Amino acid sequence: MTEKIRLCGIDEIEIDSKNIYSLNGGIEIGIFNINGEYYAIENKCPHRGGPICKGQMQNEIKANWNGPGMRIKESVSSVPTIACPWHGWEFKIETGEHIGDSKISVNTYKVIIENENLYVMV
Amino acid sequence: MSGDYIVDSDAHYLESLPELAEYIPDGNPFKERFKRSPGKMFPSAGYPDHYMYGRIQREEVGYLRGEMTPEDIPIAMDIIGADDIIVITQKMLSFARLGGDDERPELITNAYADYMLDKVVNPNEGIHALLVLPYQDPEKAVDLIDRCGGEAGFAGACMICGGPEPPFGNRKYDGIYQACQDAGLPLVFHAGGASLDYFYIKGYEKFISTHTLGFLWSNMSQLVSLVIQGVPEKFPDLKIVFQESGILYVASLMARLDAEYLKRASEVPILTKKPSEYMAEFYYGTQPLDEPKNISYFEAAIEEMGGASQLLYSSDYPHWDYDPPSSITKIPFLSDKEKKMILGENAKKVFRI
Repeated sequence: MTEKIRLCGIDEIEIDSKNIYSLNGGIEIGIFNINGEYYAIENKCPHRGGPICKGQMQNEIKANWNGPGMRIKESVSSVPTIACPWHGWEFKIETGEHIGDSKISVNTYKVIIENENLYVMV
Repeated sequence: MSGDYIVDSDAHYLESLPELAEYIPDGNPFKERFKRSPGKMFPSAGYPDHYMYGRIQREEVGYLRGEMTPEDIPIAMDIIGADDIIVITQKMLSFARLGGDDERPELITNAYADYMLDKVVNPNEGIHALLVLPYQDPEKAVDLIDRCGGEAGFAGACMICGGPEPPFGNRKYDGIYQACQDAGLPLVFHAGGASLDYFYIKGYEKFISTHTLGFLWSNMSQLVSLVIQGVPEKFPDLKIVFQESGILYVASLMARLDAEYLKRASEVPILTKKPSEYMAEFYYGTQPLDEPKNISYFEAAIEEMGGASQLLYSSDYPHWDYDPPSSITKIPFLSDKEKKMILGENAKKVFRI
């Protein structure tokens, strides 16, 4: 049974930033504003339980290889990620998937925006 | 000139170790060891007497009684019970000693290829070889693949893992990988041998130390380089084989690399899956087969490596630490089907035999 819980007004989170909210049940949830789209991630890394939402955001690094003998070129994509400050496990903010192993995910929650208020389904 | 007084200030007297042994105090173990040691150098951790100073005695074939001849290979096959055999010559195992030599790698590998085709290989009789590549000069390695890679006598190509600089994940070797992939040649990475590894772990006093660490170091270092620098991602159809470091190290390295990868995935964006997943697609020669105290550890490790499908029985005969086929057939948890796979069926699929 999921519950709709109001966390904040959407104007409380600036674009390309995040806030962390504590729920009564002890769960902490990070809300990320990515270009006006909002994502909710549990502030608990599946690795060692670190406060992942306190980590640094960046966009995922991608590789491009043009053939034998060519250097692998690395570039910054448009896929936002968050890295756990404890050990660096890095997850895609939009999906919660680990960038190196899609079978590993951080818990995510559905976000609902109503009347400038942000709710999560927990 | 005649009549002049001459001093040769540096000549050499070629003594034998058995002669020297007479002057070693009674009771010292080296007195008996040197009595049985025909080597030219003092046996050491880097240049050992592989045969335990004469105590390992297998004189059917091999360098205990001098060099082998092509006629010895069927004898070796009979001893092992092999229907097909894939050989690398003894001297080529020390190939990495050439280091950065600019001339001999190309010269020697080409001569070796021609010699093996002319005198040794006989695929109709099950005698195959690996085409050893002069990785120091990748363009010449590709030339050699172009010239000889299609010969039926070569079951695959080979690079000796004796400390290439840079290691084999570097893009300078890409042409080699592309050529092998295009030619359908599996590529064997073969540990360089303890005397080579002496350069990396010098200071150890016993051959048991250098032999244990050396072979592991040889292959582990190249495995890490290949995987992390994306060779299997760049050349997905290249069959990669690692030989002569046992197999337990693979599972250990998989776990170590995966742990690192999950923390630092953004450092290697060329990878699209965990290092262990690439490694589970490689093939591994079984020799020198580890002997774990707890056999279940062995079972779990093979499962981690991708299962019996990734293992290739290898004897290393006539080397001192060779493994007979019973090293596989006596493994209790393997099914008969898995034993058959490891003993021959996998190799039939991997190699061009």
